[in-house]
Amino acid sequence: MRIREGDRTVNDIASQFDISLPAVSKHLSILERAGLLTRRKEGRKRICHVEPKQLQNATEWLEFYQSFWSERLENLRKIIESDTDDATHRRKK
Amino acid sequence: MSEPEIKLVINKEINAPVEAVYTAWTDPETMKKWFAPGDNMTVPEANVDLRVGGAYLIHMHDADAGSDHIVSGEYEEIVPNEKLVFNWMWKDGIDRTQVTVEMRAQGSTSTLLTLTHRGFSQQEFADKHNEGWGGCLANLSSHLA
Repeated sequence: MRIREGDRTVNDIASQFDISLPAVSKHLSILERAGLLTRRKEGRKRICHVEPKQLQNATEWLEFYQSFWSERLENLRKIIESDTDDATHRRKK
Repeated sequence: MSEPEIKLVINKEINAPVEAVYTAWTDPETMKKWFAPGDNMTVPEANVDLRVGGAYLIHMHDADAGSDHIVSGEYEEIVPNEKLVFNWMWKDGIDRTQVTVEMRAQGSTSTLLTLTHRGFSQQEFADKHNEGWGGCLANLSSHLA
């Protein structure tokens, strides 16, 4: 995370990667649309700023669903596997 | 340019035939058994109208918090024993996300289940947090710890 330590210009960020400036710019646009990053102009420079609050929201929300589904799928596995065992009276996983 | 996509993918291997896994996702009585996480949550109500455009509803009740969480949506794609695609919307929620469940038989007695939940927007993160999902997260974390 190049940008974590503070605001950076787009050129600065692009210089750290082996991909073209337009490609970097495209990635930044996606982050910007997701509300994770803002860009402002200072003269001819474009400065990027991370919005950590939004990033935290996104992470927490995904973590919520990660737990939500993991827990349910584990329930699902237990219930089906015990049902299957009951039905067959033999196979053990 | 395409919309930014925020999604999550979970793979799960289940030692049961693919038909049993499909039934568990489509039979309301079976869904009631597993859609409730932990000991204090129950699913008092599960409705399924299994056809494209048909609706489902899952009502989760948290006995400890005394709260109810109701999610509903419509089926978008149904391939028996292979794939289910349905949209997903919390009651009082704003965003409609989408869940895809893919089931692949690994031999006759094992199934690889892949769940993809996509379409999350930044707006939903914010809204849900305002509705107190933070508390749910804390509950979940302590439950899992």
